[in-house]
Amino acid sequence: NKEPEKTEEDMEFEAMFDKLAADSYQERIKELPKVTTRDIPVPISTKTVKKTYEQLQDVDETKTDSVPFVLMVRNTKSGKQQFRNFIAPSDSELAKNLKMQEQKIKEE
Amino acid sequence: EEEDDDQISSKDLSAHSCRYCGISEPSTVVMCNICKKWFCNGRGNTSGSHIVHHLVRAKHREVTLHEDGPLGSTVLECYSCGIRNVFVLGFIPAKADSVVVLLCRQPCASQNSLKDMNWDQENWKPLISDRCFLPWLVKIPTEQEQLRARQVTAATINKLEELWKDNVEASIADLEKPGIDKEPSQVQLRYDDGYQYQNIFGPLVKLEADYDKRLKESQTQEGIEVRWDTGLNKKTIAYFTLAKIDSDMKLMHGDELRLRYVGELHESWSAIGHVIKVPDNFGEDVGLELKHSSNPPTKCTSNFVVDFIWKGTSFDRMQQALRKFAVDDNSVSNFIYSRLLGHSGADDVTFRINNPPKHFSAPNLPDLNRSQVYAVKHAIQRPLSLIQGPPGTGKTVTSATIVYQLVKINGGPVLVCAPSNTAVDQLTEKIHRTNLKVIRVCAKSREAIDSPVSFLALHNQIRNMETNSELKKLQQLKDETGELSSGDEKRYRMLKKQAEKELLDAADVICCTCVGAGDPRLSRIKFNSILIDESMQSTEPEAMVPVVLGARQLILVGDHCQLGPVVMCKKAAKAGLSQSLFERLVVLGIRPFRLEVQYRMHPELSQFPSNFFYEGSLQNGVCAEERKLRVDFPWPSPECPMFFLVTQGAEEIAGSGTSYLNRTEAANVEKITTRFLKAGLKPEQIGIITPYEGQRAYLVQYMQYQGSLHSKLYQEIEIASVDAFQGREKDIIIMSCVRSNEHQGIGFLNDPRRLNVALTRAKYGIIIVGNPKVLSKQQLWNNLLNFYKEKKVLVEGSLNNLKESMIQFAKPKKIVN
Ligand SMILES: [Zn+2]
Ligand SMILES: [Zn+2]
Ligand SMILES: [Zn+2]
Repeated sequence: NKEPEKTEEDMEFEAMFDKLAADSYQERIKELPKVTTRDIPVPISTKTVKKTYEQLQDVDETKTDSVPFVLMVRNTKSGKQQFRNFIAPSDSELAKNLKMQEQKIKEE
Repeated sequence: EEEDDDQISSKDLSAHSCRYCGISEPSTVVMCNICKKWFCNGRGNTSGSHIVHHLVRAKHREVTLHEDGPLGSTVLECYSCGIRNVFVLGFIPAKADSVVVLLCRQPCASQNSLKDMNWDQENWKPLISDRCFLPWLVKIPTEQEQLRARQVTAATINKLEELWKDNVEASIADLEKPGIDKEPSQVQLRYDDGYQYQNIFGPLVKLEADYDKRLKESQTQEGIEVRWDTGLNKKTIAYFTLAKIDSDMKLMHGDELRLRYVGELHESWSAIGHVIKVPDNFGEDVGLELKHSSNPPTKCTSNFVVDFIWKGTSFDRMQQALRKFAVDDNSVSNFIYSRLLGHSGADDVTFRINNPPKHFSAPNLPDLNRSQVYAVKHAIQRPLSLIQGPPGTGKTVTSATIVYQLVKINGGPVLVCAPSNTAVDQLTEKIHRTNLKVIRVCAKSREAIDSPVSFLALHNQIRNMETNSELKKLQQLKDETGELSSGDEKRYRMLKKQAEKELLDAADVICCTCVGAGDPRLSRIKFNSILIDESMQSTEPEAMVPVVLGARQLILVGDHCQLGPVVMCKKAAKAGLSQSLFERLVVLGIRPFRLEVQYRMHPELSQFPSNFFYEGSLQNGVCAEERKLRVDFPWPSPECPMFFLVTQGAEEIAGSGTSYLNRTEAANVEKITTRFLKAGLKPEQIGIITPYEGQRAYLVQYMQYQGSLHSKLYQEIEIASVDAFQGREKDIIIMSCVRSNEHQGIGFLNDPRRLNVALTRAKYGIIIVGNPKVLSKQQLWNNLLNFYKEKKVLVEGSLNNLKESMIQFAKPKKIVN
């Protein structure tokens, strides 16, 4: 079962994609000395982050094939930490990885 | 089609619907921060999602998620440093916790920058995977949604993006309008007349000019920090680092940039300057020499902006040349006119020379070999001749000798051109050695740039003229004070013009680049004899710039078996602008006269190129003994300094989430390089060729961090694409092939000319690292691999223990062109 034949524009797009990604990365390497980074402590109690009513409902609706996660973001204006709930499918790498880690801890 | 219209009537389309397919489900769309357009994360029948298609085609790199999407309105950026380029962004999870954070790959997600051990750094993953955003960031439209939406192909997307460059509000419907997206006419082999020639090439030059203009003008950079300096000529020089330049665009000496101050410590200021230093192995600094009286705010060092200034001069000159060729009977002789249009057959016509020279060499140049002598004889007797110079065959010496003989027979001035400044300089130097009066005409913007033949440059020869004391005084005053009173300036210019004329009139030979031949200072001179070197590297309109200055005798030197001109605009390239005049004349049946003795490569190295690119005609002017590298290196066959190292490491997607690389090949290249360095080779003797940008970047880093020697040594080794090595040589070449599969697309491995150039750069030895299983599918590579196998230099294993490889090759596919 072969993939459908790619058009010339598709191949061109893929090549351009690779190039843009490589350029971005290299540019980043050049900028490194100038980058200022901030330390990011892992929030201690993410599990207790307050959820809105709607989100709670979302979670209720969630079938067993998805896993709730929290994305930590910084508010662009205030610079404060904020948390965004999201759902990742249980067969996603993200969810699989979490499961594995939890298992490891149990084994220990 | 009517049904489609029913399903998505334009009225219903909300502001955030995908500009390509119309899907408007909020959880599936993303906004491009740069142009504020929305795109969905579905891919339809293409090989990437619509948003990724847009980012790539438009070279935009920042996005915001939709308010009603899985994560709410969120600008994607690195939590730690704030960078927004989605092509370097990824995420890491906390160990054994369900919290996730977005981080850029370098430096924020790298080993030593995260202090909290509870983050699972090892598990950094890019946000874009398989050319789609991860579905937990932006949902992928359901199959049903995608089926109901407008079906767009990659070709349509491309056309629409092109349209947006001129009209940001254009829609898919505009693509249907007549006149839009008209393909340009293809170049032909023959033309009715100069008008038709102009009508075909004019639009192609325009396409290329427009492309170049858009590219340059989209490169503005903010937040630039400047270091000030003053040059010997009293002009202010600004040094700064540019972070991002499209790698399609090379910053060149003489390019114009505008520097602007936008901070609050000084009133707003801007000035234009010429680039006098470009980033190289020894630093990333750009040096910009500002024009006089620009009064730069030298107290300020930050908050500057750099704009690239597009100059259409070279394109204008090509258009002028095309026009002149069409309308001016005196632009070229009738004979050349009809030959260039492909009218008269390829029958041989010769001049009668009254006093044919007895010796076909020139003073202070090496004696010529037989084929070189014939080439000189051939060229000086014909109104139009093609001299083909395969790698290392002494093209420059032959060209210089031809020029010398032409001046002896007909007197001057002879016009000598090449597409690149480097090639012109090399030829200028050789011709100067024959004691002819040579003038190198440089673009005004390049006058500050030093070269080995600077002293022959027109502007420098004027300074050294003994006769004109008034001009000398004014020049001195101008140099010292930087500026002259308007009266003096007028007088100065007048005197300078006179002096220029005087010098040019007395010259035997004038050398400049092809587009340089369009310089107004040369417009009044008529050149009967014109020689263009490296002519396969210029486009036809570019070659026409010197040709229309009166050609009665035209000599094109080049090699159509090496790489042709670089044309950036794909449309123009496809229509045939990337074919050189040299190549077309060969196709028309004009036989190029070939130089046959090569002096560069070890005889073993020249064998394959000779057989496969030059019908076995290349002879060796150097013997194995002269090309023996007297260092300790484990060549599998000591008499044959080459091998193919079978490396079957998987090609993979680089950590940036995207670009292909091959770690095993990189490790092998590093080992080979280190071995050579340890044996006593200097970094500048080694060149590393790799076709793939991802591999190039990886190699540069890998050698610096993993190489066992001082990183400085590796920094000085040139690692580049084949194209960057054309026209040059290295003692040792190491080539990393990375891969060759159907969607290579860039034509590295299937362009025989590129392979020819790659194989003919090395003087002493060549090593190819690659995977024969994949490469052997291509006919030419299959031949090369078999050649290595027969020589018993197809090997595997470690450098200390190389063994002949018994790997089986794949059957080559038929070449489809
Ligand atoms: Zn955009
Ligand atoms: Zn879409
Ligand atoms: Zn970062």
